[in-house]
Amino acid sequence: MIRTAIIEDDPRISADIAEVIRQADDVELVASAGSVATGCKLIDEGGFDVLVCDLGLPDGDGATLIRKAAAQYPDIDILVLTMFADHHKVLDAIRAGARGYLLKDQKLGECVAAIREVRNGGSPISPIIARLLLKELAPQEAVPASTSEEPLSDREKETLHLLSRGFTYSECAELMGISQHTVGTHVKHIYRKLEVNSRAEAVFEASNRGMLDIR
Amino acid sequence: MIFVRWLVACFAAYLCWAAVPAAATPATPSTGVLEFLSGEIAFADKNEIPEAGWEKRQTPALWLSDEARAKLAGKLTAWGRFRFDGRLLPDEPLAIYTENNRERLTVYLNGVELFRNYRSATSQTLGWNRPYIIPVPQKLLRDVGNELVLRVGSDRQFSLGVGTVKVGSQEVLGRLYNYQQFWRVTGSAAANYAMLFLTFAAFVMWMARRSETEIFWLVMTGLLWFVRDFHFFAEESPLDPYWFQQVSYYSLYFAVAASLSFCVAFLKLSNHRRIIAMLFAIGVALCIFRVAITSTNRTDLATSLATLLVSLLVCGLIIREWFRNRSLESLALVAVVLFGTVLGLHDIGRIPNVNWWQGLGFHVQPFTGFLLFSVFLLSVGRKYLRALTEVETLNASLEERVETATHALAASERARQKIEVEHAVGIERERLMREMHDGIGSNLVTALAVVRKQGEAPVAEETLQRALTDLKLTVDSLAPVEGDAVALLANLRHRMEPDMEKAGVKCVWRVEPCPSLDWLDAPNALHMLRIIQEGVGNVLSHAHATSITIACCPSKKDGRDGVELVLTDDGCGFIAANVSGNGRGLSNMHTRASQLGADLRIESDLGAGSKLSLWLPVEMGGRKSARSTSG
Repeated sequence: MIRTAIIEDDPRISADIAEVIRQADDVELVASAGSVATGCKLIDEGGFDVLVCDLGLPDGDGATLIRKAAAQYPDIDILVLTMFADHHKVLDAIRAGARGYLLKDQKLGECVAAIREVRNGGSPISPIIARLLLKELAPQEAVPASTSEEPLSDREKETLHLLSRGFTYSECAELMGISQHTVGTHVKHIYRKLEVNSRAEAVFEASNRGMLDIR
Repeated sequence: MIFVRWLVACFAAYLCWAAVPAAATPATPSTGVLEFLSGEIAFADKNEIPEAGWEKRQTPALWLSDEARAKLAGKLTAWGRFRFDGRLLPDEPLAIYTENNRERLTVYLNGVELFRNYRSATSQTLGWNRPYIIPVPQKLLRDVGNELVLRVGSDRQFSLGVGTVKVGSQEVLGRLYNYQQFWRVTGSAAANYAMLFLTFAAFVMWMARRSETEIFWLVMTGLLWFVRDFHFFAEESPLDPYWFQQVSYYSLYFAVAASLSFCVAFLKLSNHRRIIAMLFAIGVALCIFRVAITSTNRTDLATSLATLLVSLLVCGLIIREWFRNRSLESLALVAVVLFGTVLGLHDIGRIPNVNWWQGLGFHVQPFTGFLLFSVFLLSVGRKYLRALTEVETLNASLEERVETATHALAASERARQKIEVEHAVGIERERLMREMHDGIGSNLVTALAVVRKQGEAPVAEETLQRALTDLKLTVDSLAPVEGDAVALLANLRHRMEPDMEKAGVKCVWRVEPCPSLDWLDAPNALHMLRIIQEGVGNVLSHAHATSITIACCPSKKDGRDGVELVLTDDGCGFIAANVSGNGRGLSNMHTRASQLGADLRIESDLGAGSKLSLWLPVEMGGRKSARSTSG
């Protein structure tokens, strides 16, 4: 049984998702909140495996909640709710600790599949996001090691490359001679590396500022 | 070997010049001049013409000092007596001409003192290099038995000698005197004082630029040659005669060393410092050698020849340098040093006790220093002029470079500002659009949910869905993909995959790596995405296809590089003319394509599927980006 919590300010969407989850046998809704304040409480209480979180909350940024949840419970999976899966928001969410995203306009029936997928170790990705990740995590020109705590493996690079050129998970699996599930796992690992690297970078930046005391 | 031929020519010219008997006067009365090739010599340290002790001798007798030292105790004095027949002389104003007498000279004719070249017996007159002309009073001259007596005197350690004596036409001898006076005294004094003046100027120059060693050596060359040459034209010794003599003798080695040092420093020969040090060491060695030789009262020919040898050696070095870089300067220096060597040899041959030849009839050494110095000065001047030219061209090129750099800087600054502004505008636009879309989008999603729940208005549902898809395309077009058409197309596939699945159409994906399209900014990307999306939408709605192939590959059109996107389906096809409801969609697609400067072709036949190909150029061909035309 996958215990799911949801933080979403639009009651209609919240209700729709709750409805879909209720119909599923292996997923249950354990908690829901509609703001950053109530979301904080929800996270502190815990007791969920998957957190579905909206980014645009009336009293603040969902990313702070994601960061908090990811820090408190390393074993949970977090999905962001987004209108368009636009690269900015999705990448920010992943840096905060999310492992996937749900589109608000999808037939919400698909959201259960996404919850199962992410729990099974796979993550969704769009070609544009794959391309941006390639640029960020595997730059062509040499970068100092400090900015790249966790470099991508060759397999991960290959996966990202194929995904960025529009191949679906099943096509990638076929081209690389691996299972579709493994492709999803690669993507999830890549997301984790992005999170780790961006956190390291933030620390690095902060220590730099502290040391150099620039204005 | 132009150089060798040139040297040979110079030498030949010199020989011709030396052979011209400009001042030679044969002892025949036909020229109106008598030259005494013999006479009588006596040694007596007194003030009257001696009665006895006369010996017949060849004249000029320039080397009497050894004999005089042997016969006399104090100062050296010698007498020369010449008898001649007055009738041999022309009937015109007459004069006595004499030169090379060392040092104090008194001239008597028939017992009457006519001339003396000194103020008193103690004055340090230098007569050895001076010509004298003494008009003969007509009354003193007899027809026969004229007696011309010369008394020469000098201090004990100096040389003593009776020089050349001629008597005859004042016209002829005056010309001779003028010639000799110029080359021995006036000319050489003028040359040396001019050199001294220029040396001072060079010294001031060197004070301003101490690092220019060649100017230092030029100064030394001028100074040392002046010191060396002073005794050629000085009327009296400026300091104690003994020291003056020593200074005059020994300065020669250092004048030569300084001249050669100049050449070496000027040409910046490899390890020139060591060579200069060696030259001066040789100079010192020759001084010591000379002291040793003259202390034994022998003539010192060896050191004089040694200086010539050193000059030739340095010449060899300069010639080697010339072979390396073929500069005009090194050639000029070789020429002048060689010429100086020849002149030096000429003077050595004229030394009374060497007496190989009379040469030009005067010592050329005072001019040798001047000549060397002048050529050196010219070389320095030429270097200076060249440096000026270099500075000018350098300045010009620097100015040019500064100007280009300034322009480039200004341009890059403008570009940077433009980029900054564009970047800021772009980011702000993106933010606004995303916020707007989020707002519109959430309303659309809400409406869609409501319509779906009711399930009674499929058209409304479709319209709302299309509006949402359109918004997604807009958001995608904002992604920073750096003109990567494949990534945009891939995202479109990703977006439409659920729709294709729903319609039961299989997507065959064929993309190849493509060149990036720099002009593909957000508005253009949106045009491209909308064309393809419309094409896919048409297939899904009308074609009843089972599969759609989306391909993207590089392709050339009319010799221009480009990227071609092709959609093919296996549907029922259509005839463009018969397309009714969707006509506006097609014409919109064409409008967008022309906005892009792209080439759009849609081919179809009934029952044979359809093919849409969109060719995009890599270079925009002077078209502006659509950003300026889009709001």
